[in-house]
Amino acid sequence: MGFLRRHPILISIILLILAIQVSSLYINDKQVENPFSRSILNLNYYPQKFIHSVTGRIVTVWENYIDLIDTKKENLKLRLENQKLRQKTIEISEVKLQNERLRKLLQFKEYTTHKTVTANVIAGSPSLLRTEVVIIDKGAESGITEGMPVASYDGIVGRIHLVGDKNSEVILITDPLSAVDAYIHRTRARGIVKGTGNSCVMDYIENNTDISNGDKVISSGKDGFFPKGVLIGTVDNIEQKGGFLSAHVSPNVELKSLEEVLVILKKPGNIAFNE
Amino acid sequence: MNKTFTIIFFIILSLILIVVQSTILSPKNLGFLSPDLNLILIIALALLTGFKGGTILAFGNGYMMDILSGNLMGVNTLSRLSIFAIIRSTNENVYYHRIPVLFLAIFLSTIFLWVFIWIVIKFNSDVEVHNSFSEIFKNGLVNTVVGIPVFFLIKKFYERVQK
Repeated sequence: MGFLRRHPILISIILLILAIQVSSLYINDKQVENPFSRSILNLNYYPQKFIHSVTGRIVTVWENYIDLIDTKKENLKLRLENQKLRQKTIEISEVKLQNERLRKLLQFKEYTTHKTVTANVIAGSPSLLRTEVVIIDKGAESGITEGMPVASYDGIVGRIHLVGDKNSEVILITDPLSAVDAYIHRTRARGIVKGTGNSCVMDYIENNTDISNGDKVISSGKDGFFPKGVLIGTVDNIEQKGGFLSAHVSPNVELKSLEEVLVILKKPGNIAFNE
Repeated sequence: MNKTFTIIFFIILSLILIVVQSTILSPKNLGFLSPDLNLILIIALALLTGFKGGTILAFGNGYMMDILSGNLMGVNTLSRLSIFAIIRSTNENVYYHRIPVLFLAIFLSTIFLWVFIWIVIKFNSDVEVHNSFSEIFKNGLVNTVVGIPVFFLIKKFYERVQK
């Protein structure tokens, strides 16, 4: 005990070396599933769910209160807006048609043979080091297992990393350890979409490929994790990287304000026939 | 009896702080403005509790951070354990309970934590630390500003449990 008290720096160095070893082990393995990890995740389910529902109610009550104060002003404002909205009806019908096309692309049930489970995001990562992680309120009891893809109606969200009984941990596509095999929708050019912390980048696109800003990026289904044809994001910058092209991809899903997600009950490695 | 109460007190406190840190004060929403309540608890453990119990609790807290923030197992556990060891080795210093010294201790612990993480990450080429130094510096300031009242609150509750 006295030794530990006298040599804190030595202990720190030992712990540092240990951390390097342990973390590299897990990065290569990329699995943390063990009963202890699972029980810690389970332990946090009820408190996180409770805080999530309490804060949700507080926000609703507060918004209702604010609504009452501003009702009169808003009434006048809404009448004016109503006139503008009528003019926009024609534009909306146009958008509706476009929406229908996108819906066809995004309706997972039409595209895959897999079942889906809807879940709420109840918490985020407590660490500033890795913020691209969320906790959802569905787990093994709903049939969820590690590696299953998670999406929203706007596109791919991420992948199940750790499963508890009633909750699961989701690694978002913007996480640096996330990788999705993808296509450019227009030209079918292939690449790997990786997370960069708060956005994504599509690497390993062949040099002579026809690719431009605004191109939609969709999953190829060839990584064994994500189903084919799910929207990932939009290309907004292209640059040369070694012998390949690299495109910055803005995720289609607003990951910062994620509330509801869809877990696709597709076990990793199972590529369906229609994909 | 007091010892049992102390352990239960710190286990419940650990759980409350980690849940608050992953919901209301999650770095996902607040970024560097999110205070590291878990780190503040580790410092409180080092200054207030015994060696054995404190070490186990510090380890458990770090491990919980690792589990709830994705993989990279061991990074939070061992970095926080290291901070616990350093602060614990000097905890007989009476000045620790004075605000400016505590301020400095929390701030330097945040910097130490990130240097530790940075070194670990550097050895694993496929991941990177995406936080800039200015973000870490600001997070250190947030931790100190939030940490001091939280520390004294923990101390007050701890003393009550001890009675």
